[in-house]
Amino acid sequence: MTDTASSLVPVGSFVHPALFYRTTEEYVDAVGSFAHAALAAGEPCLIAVPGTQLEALRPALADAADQVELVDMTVLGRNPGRILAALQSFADRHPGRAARIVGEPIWAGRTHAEILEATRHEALINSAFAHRGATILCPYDVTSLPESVVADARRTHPTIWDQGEDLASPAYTDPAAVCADCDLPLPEPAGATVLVYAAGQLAQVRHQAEAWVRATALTPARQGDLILAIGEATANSLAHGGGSGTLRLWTAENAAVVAEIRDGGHLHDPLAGRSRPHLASTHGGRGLWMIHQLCDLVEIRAAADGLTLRLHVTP
Amino acid sequence: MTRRTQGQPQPPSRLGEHLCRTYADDQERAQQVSALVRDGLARGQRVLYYADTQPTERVADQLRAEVAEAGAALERGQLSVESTADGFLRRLPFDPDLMIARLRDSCQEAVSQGWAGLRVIGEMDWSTRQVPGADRLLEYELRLDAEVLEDLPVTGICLYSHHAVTRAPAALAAAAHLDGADPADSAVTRYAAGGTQRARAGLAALPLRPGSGVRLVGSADLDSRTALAAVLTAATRMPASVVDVDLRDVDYVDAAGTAVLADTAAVLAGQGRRLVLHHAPPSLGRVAEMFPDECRDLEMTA
Repeated sequence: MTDTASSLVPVGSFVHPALFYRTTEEYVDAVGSFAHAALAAGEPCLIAVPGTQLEALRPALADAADQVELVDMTVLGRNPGRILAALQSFADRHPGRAARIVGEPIWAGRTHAEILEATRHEALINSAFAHRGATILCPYDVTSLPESVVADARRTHPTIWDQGEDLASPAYTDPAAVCADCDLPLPEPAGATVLVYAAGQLAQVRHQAEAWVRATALTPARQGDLILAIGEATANSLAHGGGSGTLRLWTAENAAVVAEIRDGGHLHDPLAGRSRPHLASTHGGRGLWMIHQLCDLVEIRAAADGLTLRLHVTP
Repeated sequence: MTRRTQGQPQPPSRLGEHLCRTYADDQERAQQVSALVRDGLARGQRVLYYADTQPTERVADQLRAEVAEAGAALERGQLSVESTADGFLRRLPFDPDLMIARLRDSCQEAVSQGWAGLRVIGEMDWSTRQVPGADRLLEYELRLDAEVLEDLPVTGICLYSHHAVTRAPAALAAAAHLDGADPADSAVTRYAAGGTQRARAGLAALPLRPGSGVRLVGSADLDSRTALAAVLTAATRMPASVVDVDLRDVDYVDAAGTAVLADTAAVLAGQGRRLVLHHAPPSLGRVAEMFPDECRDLEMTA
């Protein structure tokens, strides 16, 4: 594996393999080798994997702890929609160098809704990093993840590392097609508070949402985060979504507070909101990026007749 | 009717005052003007009336008919009626710096002649026409408090028609008066209570007392983006090394609003001045946290 990792980055090209692993030993060996190869090549290395996996990796990375950036993916990637911005920011912090990243966005226990958005993220990595010198290795625990997740990993990764072999993935699919497949119908809530809004009514709808959110189990800080996310989403409806929209609010079975914003918008750029914008940027994407940062899960459905965002915030 | 939120300290008193009156039609305006002129004459003030849409002779005739003292006051020069076109709109563009200097001079002259002060009553409908400089009306209204009323006995009374106060730039300018709200006018009264009514929509600016700057009331979101930009442009023209923006009555500032504030802070910093935000709502703090580089120079204090 070491040989494969050190030889796989032609300058300026992007490499995006899925790593199929079955045991912790196999995992530590592959990821550890990847990190050491990065350091040997003098390239910046980020490892964003679930906290339990980080602990398993620590002994193998003991000699390189201060040179490898370690991040708990269950925190960074709590909402799959914000992972890509973090990965791009890491690469941006090392201009002119080929970032080597381990990103494990799907682990056992992820909900179906999270897995869909994480799959969308995996597909969009290919668009975001196309023509960029970088390697992003995505480990998949094939013993505990559903077969459908493994099948999707074959569609979102051009190559697969499996049991020491680096093979092209015949199932690899264009990111746009994968994203379209992720736009599955959303389940209808049992009941919801419905608020409609148009120009001149942003404050009014926000105040109504605030009053509703105040009665939930969210802490005041998380209430504020959700209201800010709702504020940006409803403003987007006015600016980009046809000038009006519908906000629905409900509490899900897992106690998550859900706000759904539906309008006539079209997601022209599927990467919108997936890289850090400048505060003063006006070309869209700023609101979506903020929404991804503020929420625990953002479900996106881009349909011909409009755009739906479901924002989840858990207590 | 007060615009101040209950429980807040009363602003320090000024020698002068600045009022806004709105009217539905000519008859209502005439009644208000008569009462305002009568009051000024009774107080021993020099009274200057600026007519905008009606001939000065007609206004003078009306005042003679309606106000017992008016005829004699016109004779002895205590009362005069001018047209805006011959008065402060003779030299365009409308320039708050010149207006303020002129108002100060006129008041000092009136006081030196023995009058108790200067009362200026002005019809403001010119601001809805394409008058060059009309976009600086808000700046003028906001600056009067600190630059004229603090140390001079000027009573400034701005007359806005209901037609005018529903339109830019008069809507923001009419709402920028600390006193004198007309309950009949929604553009003004929506901010008047400071409490539940401001939940409706929009953003208004008031002069800040004490200090040099503005107090904002309402929400800073996409619906009020133009208003926020206009208010901050006016605020940057206040001649002060520190421009304070009091946000205690602002419940929400979105990312674009934060960007406008950060941009304003940068403009002032470029002039060696500072923008200081007071009582920022949680949303503004959260946006600043998410954009630390862009908001590095945004000063926030309690």
